[in-house]
Amino acid sequence: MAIAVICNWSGHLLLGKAREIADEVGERVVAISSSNDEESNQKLIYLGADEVLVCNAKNLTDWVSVVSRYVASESKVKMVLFPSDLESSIVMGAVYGTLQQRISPYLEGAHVLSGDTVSKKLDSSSVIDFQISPEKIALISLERSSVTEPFEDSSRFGKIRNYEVGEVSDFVRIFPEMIHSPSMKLVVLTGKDLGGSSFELAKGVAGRFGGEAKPLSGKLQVVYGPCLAIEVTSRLRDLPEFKGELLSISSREVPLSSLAKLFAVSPEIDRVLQKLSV
Amino acid sequence: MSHSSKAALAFASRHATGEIVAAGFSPILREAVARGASRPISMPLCDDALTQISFFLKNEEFTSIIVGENTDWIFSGASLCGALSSKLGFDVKISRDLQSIESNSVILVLDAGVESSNVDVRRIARSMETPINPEGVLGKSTIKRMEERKPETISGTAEEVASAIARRLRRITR
Repeated sequence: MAIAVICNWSGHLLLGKAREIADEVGERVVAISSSNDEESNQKLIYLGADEVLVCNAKNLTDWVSVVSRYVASESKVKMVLFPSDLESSIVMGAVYGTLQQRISPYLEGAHVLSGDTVSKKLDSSSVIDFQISPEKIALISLERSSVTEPFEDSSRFGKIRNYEVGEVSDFVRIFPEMIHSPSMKLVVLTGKDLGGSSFELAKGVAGRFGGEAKPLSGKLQVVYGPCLAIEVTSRLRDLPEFKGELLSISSREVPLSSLAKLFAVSPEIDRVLQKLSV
Repeated sequence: MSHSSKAALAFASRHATGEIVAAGFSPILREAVARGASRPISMPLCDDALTQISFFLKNEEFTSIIVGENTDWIFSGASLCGALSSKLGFDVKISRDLQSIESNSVILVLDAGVESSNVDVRRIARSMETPINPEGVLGKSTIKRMEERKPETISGTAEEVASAIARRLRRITR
């Protein structure tokens, strides 16, 4: 049996998790990549893949064809893992819509995965569990932040081969090649009392981690992706809803700290921001 | 109603030239009508994307389907778009790229989480008079209570705090 990992969209970060499960139950790890770069495909073997399938997918529509063909034709696949993001979700949905009979369970944004169960946190107090079916193929996207980074070992061996899709499906057509949803980017949220120079530093932090700095205002109602709150001292009822992971830095204990996963106290906020932005 | 469903309805109200049908779980449908839907279709809440879409494709035909991101359920809006596309042969498009609603398309409305348009007060009476069938919840999955975790607290020098935060940021933004 094999555990397949879609390695585009930073999916290679899931190879460590796939390797861990494969080693527990004696299975193979297959990495599926659209990169023609030999070096990066070799790296997928060093990261834990036993085999790399190089496909010719150029856009999301092609990916639907690649994954559909793989799920439909490979009889010894236990699960196909995707990194959790919008692109993966569209592809997964289209594959599920085409091959429903072969797939179970189907879960997006899973936080915990083992050889026989998969779970997702629905909110801060509830979690949903699914059993991995022994007869069907599990289609799962995993939150990258919930798995440990794969260990690169250049003594690992594996094979790399081309995986031809043949006819590309013209039934499902997905127009954006990449989506880059603003909702999944890091938001650096600054409190109302933070000065102009501190806000500039916050912008530097956001820039370093590919996010956006926003001052707290009533206009922002939901933060979907990860959020770093800086000196946000408002009452809970005046805050937006946080759906992603929340980190907080402030000079004293603030109401927001009860919601944060990581809460840092430092009287030298500007200095922390300076260090974070370089 | 979730913020991204509000964003999807606002997109529909701005661009639609025909009837807007709001399909969803019954508790949110009055608000949907007050936010501009012409009529509601009440559906059970399902834990499977294909079971979910079977309920509103049963007796209806649509020229286009607009879906909010809704990232916090078992399946997301993006996944629903992919599934709808494979079932109907519609193209998947993204709201950001569109000036109007195109026929035979499933449109995913991206949500930046900012202020959505308000309920139209002139539509509240109509929304209250609209008959809505209550529906149940369908599925095989089990939802369990999670142990409550206290936030991890760190303190120390500016360098130590920055290093701990940077490590966590690298992990959640990679």
